[in-house]
Amino acid sequence: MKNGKKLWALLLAGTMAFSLTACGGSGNNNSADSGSTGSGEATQEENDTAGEAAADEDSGKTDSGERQKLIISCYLADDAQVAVREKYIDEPLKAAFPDVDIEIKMYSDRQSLQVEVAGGGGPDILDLDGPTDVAEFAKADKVLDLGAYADQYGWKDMFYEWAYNSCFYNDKLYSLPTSFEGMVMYYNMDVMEANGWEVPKNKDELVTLMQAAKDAGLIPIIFGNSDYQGAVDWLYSTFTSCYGGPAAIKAAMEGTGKYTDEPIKNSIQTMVDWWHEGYIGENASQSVSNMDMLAFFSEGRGPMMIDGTWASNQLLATYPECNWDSEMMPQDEAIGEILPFATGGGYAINANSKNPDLAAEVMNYLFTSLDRHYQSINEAGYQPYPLKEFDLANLQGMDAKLMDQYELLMRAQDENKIGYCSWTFYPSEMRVYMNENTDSLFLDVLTVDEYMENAQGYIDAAREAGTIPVLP
Amino acid sequence: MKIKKQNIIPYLFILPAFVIHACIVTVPAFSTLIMSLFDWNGMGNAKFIGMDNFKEIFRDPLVKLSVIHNIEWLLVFITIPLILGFVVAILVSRLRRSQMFFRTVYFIPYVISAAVAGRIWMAYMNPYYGVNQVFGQMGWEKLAKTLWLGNPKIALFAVAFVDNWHWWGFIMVLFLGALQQVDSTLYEAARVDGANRFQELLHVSIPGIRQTIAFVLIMTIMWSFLTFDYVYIMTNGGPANATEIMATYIYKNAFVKYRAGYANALCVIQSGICIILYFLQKYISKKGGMEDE
Repeated sequence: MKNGKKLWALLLAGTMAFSLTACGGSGNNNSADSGSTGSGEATQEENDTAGEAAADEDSGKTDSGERQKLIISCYLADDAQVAVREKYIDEPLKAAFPDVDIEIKMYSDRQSLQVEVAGGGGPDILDLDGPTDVAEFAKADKVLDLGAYADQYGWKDMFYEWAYNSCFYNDKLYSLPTSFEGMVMYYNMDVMEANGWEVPKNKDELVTLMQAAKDAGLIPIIFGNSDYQGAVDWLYSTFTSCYGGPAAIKAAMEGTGKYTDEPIKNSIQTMVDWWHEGYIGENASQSVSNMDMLAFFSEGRGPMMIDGTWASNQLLATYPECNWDSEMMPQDEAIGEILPFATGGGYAINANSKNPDLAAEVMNYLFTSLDRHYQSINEAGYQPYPLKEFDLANLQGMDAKLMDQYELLMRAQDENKIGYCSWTFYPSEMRVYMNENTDSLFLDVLTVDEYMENAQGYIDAAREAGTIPVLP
Repeated sequence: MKIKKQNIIPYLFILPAFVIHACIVTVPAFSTLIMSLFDWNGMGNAKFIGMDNFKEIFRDPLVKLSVIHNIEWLLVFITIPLILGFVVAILVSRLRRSQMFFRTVYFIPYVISAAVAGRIWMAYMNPYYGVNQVFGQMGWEKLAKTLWLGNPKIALFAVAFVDNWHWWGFIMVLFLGALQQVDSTLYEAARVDGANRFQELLHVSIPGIRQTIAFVLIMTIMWSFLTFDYVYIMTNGGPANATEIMATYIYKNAFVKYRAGYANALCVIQSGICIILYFLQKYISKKGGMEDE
């Protein structure tokens, strides 16, 4: 009896501990099969059938006359951002699809959306982080292959090739790029002018400027990632593209070279050396948040900041007094000017959607209603879609600094000065590894050789699995 | 054996709660155990891989590092807040009029959400505008240059300090409540026998609250291995994985790396560690007279 009690106590304690630590089960009726790919194919077939059925319906009402409902996911936003979104997305959509109930649903975090989709539900159109994020949903057959819709609507010819190709996974199109962005060097022109400094034109001039800023008691390049470790991908994407060269990265991804090759390795070494010198983040980047970074830059605690083009809107909205400019990273003469590019996000169609055809039609509307799009960029600072038809002439009257930046992006694109940001062009496991371990390089926990070897390991694995991203 | 009606009735009363618990706690918890045997990205179909996740765990240097950090965290939490909470509870229990005031003041950090407190302390620990500025003005140059959250050698302890700040008031209130339950005649008897304050504490107060001490110890041990919020908010496991703990590593695997199967296996290991520590603590408490046999 006593042993029986002990056994019960053990079982109950075990259950309690499991209860506390359980991070959830499958939440998916199909998830625990023994791994046959067949069931995955079956899911896709079911979705295709559903798609065909939906094609028979008109774009607004079902056969029974009921209004169709379409849900689009979006990121959490404050009241002001919601008001802007309502003006440039919600209301135009309602006007274009009067017979459809379109709801834009905010998700406070990625995992809520992920869990909902895994559970067989979720919105019809998923606003995801970009190709690497979409790839995970595609692996799980949770987003639809958009190939047929791309043919129907002619999407291939609408988008810039590099952006469109980045949305492929396993040779299938799973998303459409919702923005394009790049990594640039921001200059606080007040600090530059006060010290009599010129914007550096090449790497050597940049080193001279960084040393001068350091000597003046300033932070040469302001950077911080204490609240988001992964922000280091802005740094290594910039250094590998601009000082390693896009050709070397492309060769590594395509298997004709290695990520451990001298050009890329040296670019990472340069980044580490500059961090150690105090040029990047004054050896305290792990204690400074992204918000601090913008604040420090606008306050003039340093002359430069490596950040994405998205930061320009934040600077204009939060620090309108800041006198800034943005340029491509000062070039390595042997490589030339490079602007690391990325697609900022992607629209995908949920495989659980009951209205995939309608979802595709709505997506097509968003990418083809260009007057609405220009207005949203001009008046609300939305990021432009990577559309070939996109014409800067339609943005006259917008903030001059922002206009300059768009011109910079377009020039880099037109002149093929494209570098590769990890969140669009690296295998996702490789990016996660590099995001988690770049600080280890700075803090001497890891050597550059170990880091590069491990990164190459992820490229090899992705190539073997056939999931290596397509680089333009 | 004849089952008497009065023997069944109590079970009927607890049956609804048991069924609800089984459905929403026990079954999902055991599904964690099952999913730990699968390669699963958290969304699609899972592939059975047997014990591969567990084999990987034993080769994964970050798991080892996370467990070490949890043990360091445990050592901090099993000493500082317990001693501080106990000493302050003794002092506050002797107060008459102002006891409520001090109890409230010390308890307030516990009711502030981790997200808010974490952000506030991040600002305090910022090298450019936090307490370092104060240290600098006081001429304490070494302290002024300390990167509380940026130095891998001290970041974990800096976060633990903040969690302690939040936690110790709760411990103090638990001890205070227990101290007030100790029969006052025992203190009178001790005084009649000539005991001084320290002897009263040693022979009346501590034995009188030994079950509360045992409870606090066991919860501290388990919570130390399950802690997540302050680390996630303040350092996100960084810098250079210096504050990575089991819970943050599980979260990252499940939702950042899309490795839910591996995360489930880590949960099983985490649970196993908690169960072992639970029974170890129970055994030591009984041997030490903290709990009844």
